[in-house]
Amino acid sequence: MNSDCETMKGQIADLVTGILSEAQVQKLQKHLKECAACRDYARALRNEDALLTEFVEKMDSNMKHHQERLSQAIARSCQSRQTATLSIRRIIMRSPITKLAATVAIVGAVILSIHLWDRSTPSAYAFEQTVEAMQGKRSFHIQTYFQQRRKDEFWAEFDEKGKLLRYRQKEGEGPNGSLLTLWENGVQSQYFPPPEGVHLMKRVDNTDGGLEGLEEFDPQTIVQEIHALVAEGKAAMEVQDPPPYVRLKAIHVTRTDGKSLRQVLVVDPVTKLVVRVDNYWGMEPEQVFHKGTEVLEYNEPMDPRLFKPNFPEDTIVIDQVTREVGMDQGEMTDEEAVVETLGQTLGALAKEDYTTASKLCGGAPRRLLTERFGHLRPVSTVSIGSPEYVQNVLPVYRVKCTYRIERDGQAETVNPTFTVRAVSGQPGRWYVTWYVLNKDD
Amino acid sequence: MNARLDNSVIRACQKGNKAAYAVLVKRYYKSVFALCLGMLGNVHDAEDTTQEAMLKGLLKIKKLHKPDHFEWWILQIARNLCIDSFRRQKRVRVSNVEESRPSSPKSDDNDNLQQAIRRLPQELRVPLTMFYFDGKNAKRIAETLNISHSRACHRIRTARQQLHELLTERTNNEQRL
Repeated sequence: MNSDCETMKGQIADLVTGILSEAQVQKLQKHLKECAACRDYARALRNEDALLTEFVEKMDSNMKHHQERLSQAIARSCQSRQTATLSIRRIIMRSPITKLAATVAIVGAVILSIHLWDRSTPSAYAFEQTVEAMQGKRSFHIQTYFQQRRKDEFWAEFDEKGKLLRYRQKEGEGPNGSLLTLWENGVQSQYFPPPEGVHLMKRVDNTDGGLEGLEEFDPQTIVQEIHALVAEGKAAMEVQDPPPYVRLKAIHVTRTDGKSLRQVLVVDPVTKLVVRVDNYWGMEPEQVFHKGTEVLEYNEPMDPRLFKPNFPEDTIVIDQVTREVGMDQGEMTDEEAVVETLGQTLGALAKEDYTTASKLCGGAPRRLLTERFGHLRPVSTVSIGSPEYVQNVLPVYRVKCTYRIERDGQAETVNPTFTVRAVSGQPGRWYVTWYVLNKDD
Repeated sequence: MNARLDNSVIRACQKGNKAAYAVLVKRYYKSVFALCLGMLGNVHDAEDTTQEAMLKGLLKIKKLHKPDHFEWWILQIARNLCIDSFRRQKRVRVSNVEESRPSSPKSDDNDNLQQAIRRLPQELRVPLTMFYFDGKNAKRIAETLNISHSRACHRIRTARQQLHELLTERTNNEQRL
């Protein structure tokens, strides 16, 4: 094996996966004739490819089975409904006597329902009424709960097709206010209350008709999903009639497909709307995980000021919408780009080049970098560690590093961990998050 | 199947013809499964999430404004469900028999391969599963993941090399036992 072999290994992988260009194939074949180690490597990759193909074929047959089962379940669900409707209609329309009987029955039912309505007696409840009542969602205001404690409050508005138009999220109750998130037209504004006192603006796309995390709290979707699961036979539902002195109705849903989820829905029997949903994951009492949603308003008009950024005057603005921020990845791998972004950031701060540092810190203005983190300004970088991948919606890495600072005229070595993340809405660009500089001091 | 036929099927679904959705299930099931397997790294979880994504697609198909974007749309649904699954796993440490089961030294090639695929980082696993399980080429992987063609090629190459290393490492370990 010679020094070319490392490069050739990449090309061998490309050859096996069929992405190697014709010119490179010829060059590689020449090398393979001469190099036994690379020939072994190519053989090993081909053998593994045969294994992969066999595995994929096995998966394929399993997949077909799952796919057919799903298609049949969907087909059955609509066939049964169509057949039932058609056959009843056919029987009724068969003779004038049945037609007359049906008319009498319908008129009777109408009279009876008017009579019952007048006396305000609650009629028989079916979950479909709630599914129907929750349709046509235009707005909601909800409070979420986690492990029985209040968590976030959301206000959201939708267009006539159910597409999210704008939302506001309020998280936590700190002494200086709450973390607020506003979103409209693909722009997200986040307000971090003091000590940060920052307004961060970035582009966030609304994918799948609901922003990340918002959809799981959407009462209409929750109701529709439960309805579908019950129809599929994956969940069982028990509607409990309340005692006379309780106005609301409780619906208990348990999964029959092995998932350890119990759900309790509380429904207003007059409006049929869901007013609260509680999810309990896990079977062991000490390991139960609770998540709740209280519907405070549904389809009520919302105050437009709720969705407009109106933050204190001295708030520091970080703009990632109109400004291009971070470092361009080019052909680098994600890990290489992360290390390079951090290296360039520390270098720029060491040279007191705040224009570059600000861009690399995601648009954090000079004021933030000097006033808040001036005492941590590197004078020289010692080492940058390996990036550690953090699972997230966009890729995020944590990187430990060592650098020297000057404190009170004395040189000192510090070892902070930085967070480097992909810039939202600017593909292929990476930045160092500004707030971690403080956290890991 | 061409895009025009896809569009007519989607329009039929949007008008309430659920049976038409079976056509879309047949056509896109594999793509969704490949993405879920790449993101979750576990065949059983990927199967569950694929089914969930396809059902969710049926429930929400009326919200799909551009029928041409069905594949992108259904993959976004699957992707979000995978992210939900990560969040749940993060919040509740549900004991997973398959995860905690010690791998047998006599496990077969498929087990070894599954373990090795699971050990790949997610950013490499997704293009690898799309390439092998869905038969997507580098160009389509680049489009689906919104990355450049050269980066898609790089990720497939690195994934393939790392898979070899993981399989070799495992074989060596087994030989030592």
